[in-house]
Amino acid sequence: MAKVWVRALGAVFYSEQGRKARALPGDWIQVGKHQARSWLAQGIVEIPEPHRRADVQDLDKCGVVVRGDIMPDEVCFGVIRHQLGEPSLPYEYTVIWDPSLKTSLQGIEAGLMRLGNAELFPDGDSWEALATLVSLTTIASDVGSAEEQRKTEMVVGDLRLPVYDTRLLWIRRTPATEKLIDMWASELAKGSDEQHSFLRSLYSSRIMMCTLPPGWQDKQIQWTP
Amino acid sequence: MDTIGIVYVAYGKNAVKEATESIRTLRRYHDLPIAIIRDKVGGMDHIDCPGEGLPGRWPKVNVMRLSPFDQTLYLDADTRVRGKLDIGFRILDDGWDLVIVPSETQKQPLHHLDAPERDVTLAEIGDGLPLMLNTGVMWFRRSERMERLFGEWRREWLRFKRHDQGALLRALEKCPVKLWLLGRDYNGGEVVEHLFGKASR
Repeated sequence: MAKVWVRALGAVFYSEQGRKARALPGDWIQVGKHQARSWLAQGIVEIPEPHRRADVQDLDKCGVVVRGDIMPDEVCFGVIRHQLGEPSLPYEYTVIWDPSLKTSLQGIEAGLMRLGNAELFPDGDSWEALATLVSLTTIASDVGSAEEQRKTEMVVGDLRLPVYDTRLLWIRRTPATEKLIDMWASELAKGSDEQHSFLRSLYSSRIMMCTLPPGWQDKQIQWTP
Repeated sequence: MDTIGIVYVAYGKNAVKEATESIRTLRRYHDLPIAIIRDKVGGMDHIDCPGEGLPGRWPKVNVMRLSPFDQTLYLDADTRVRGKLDIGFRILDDGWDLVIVPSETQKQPLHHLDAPERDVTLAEIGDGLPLMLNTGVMWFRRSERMERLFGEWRREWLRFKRHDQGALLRALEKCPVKLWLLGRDYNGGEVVEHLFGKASR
């Protein structure tokens, strides 16, 4: 496997010729791409040059759909393609982002790297999407109107369901996720509640969703070098 | 038509006592068949399973292989059922593989694991902050995908032979499934009360 150079941000233990070695902050280490992706996602190493980081992450397959009419300028997307629009999947790995939620390039990349691990297991199933929960205690009966709750209960059968924060989604394009986003976008166009319509669409599309805990996004920003 | 039923693991005198009480509460809402893995609980179908590592965990990571049902609700012995549990089976019928509830405590990821297993788990999952899942209440259906997940779960558990939840997270990363989450009411709340740890005391 091709190796890449990463720079340690904290103490990093790794294997060198079968022996345990330690890198201190600032040290450069050469590791395999998979290890580099994992450490980058954890925020314990960096690759300062965006084009070299992009090579590790295969960011040429990725892009961001920014919801709304105005492209925010506080996030530098680096080499990641981006466009304004409603939820859709124009890229193989699409981030659907509502700028009312603060994020960072590292936050966006961290999710893309989790999805990108799909390429390490080409013969098996892989996560098709990532999304965080609003909180550990918020359930579908806590949000939305009575009518939206009724619609969700008809689809799923219960309202005691955790609710997703739909402002930042990472999606790998597959037939099932295309169905998810088509259904959700269609409901949004009719004025449906964002979170309830996402739950209904998710349930009906039966994708392999990797659910992240609340605060995952904040943790990625904290790890920004 | 799929067979459905409920499975407990009872390992030791306390667990048998807890499982007995759990079944008593369950019977107020369901008359589904019940099977008990490991130790015998009066009147229930019994399935033998050798012990290994931390008590009760090896049978749990083998529960799909041992369960006699196509669709299984696994319940920890220290649960008390306070409402109907049909929703999990309905979700399985609608095409999902696994129905489970996030753990109550998420602030310190995998705090209950020993440091070596915790470090390995966080490194292999790759982002340091996984959503922890409580395996005390879970519905699953027999399928190729779930066979692969459970196979991987067994392999992962055998690395440390301690707790099962870190092993499950590592297994899910390698063998994702169609996983639907239910809220805390179903594990540690109004529908399923969970007296965490009582079965092992």
